[in-house]
Amino acid sequence: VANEPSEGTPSRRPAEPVEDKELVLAELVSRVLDRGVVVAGDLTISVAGIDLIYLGLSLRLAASQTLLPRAHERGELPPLPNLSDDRPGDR
Amino acid sequence: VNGVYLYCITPPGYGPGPDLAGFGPEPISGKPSIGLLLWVERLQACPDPSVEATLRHHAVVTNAWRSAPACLPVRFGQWFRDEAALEDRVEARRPELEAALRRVSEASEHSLRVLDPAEGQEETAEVPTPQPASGRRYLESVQHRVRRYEAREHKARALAEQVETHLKGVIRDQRVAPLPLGQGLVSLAHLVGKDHEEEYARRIDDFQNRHAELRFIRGGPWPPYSFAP
Repeated sequence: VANEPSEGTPSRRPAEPVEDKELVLAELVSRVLDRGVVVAGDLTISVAGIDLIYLGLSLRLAASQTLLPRAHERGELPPLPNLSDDRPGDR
Repeated sequence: VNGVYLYCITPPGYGPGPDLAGFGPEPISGKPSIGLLLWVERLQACPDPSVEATLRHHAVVTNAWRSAPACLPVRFGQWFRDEAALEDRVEARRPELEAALRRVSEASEHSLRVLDPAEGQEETAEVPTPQPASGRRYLESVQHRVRRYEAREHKARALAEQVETHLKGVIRDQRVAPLPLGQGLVSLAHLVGKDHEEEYARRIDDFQNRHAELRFIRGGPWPPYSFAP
């Protein structure tokens, strides 16, 4: 899905490096998980309050983003996003 | 199968095609709900979360967003034990959903992640902080970190304001999400009318050219996830 230009790849950079595609994929997945209408009271996207999908993507993101290679080495993993986002009833 | 999985909401009259695949063998259908059409699939249980499942959900939402004049994406993982439970929840939020659907009509979401290479160099050159020798030192180091965090967030929000000003008249709305260290400076979401997409791209290029010290990664167009209530 993410390889189609109309669905997520950067539209103005024909030769994006791989890590940029991963960043865009992370942007997309985080949107599908963290945004959108919440109608149901319970969402099956996390285990024990930890969103596993986003955690995995965040780690990949940190690993692929060569700007800050040492942050991950030092164990400073990116914090989890605030999935609740102050919206009631989304957990 | 009594369970129902909800993908998105569109105006009536723009239901899914017969071949649209979802998570299971049942076809995705359009369930009318007084002025709204709910794109649903009958599923025994909610799909397990994974990146693949997330993208499958997104594919159905994208289909709706492309075929209908307005589409309100629903977050992954919203499953109901039966249709009555779904109807109850939609009914409770109907005015809000109808207003949001009007707001995202004929519009797309574009993402803009801003990276600051200077921030990466600073971080790489940083000397590891020694273990604090006293309580006072410890509190000072905490204060230093808090101030640094606040300065970073201030920078992200100031940049977002600049972007919003630069895009005035082109975007309908902007969402701002400052990012944790290591993921970039800020992630922006823009709601762009389909008739403004070329101008949007031009202005982003222009902004990028004026800020060569930063790196911009664009995504989209997508269904307007960030602008759903």
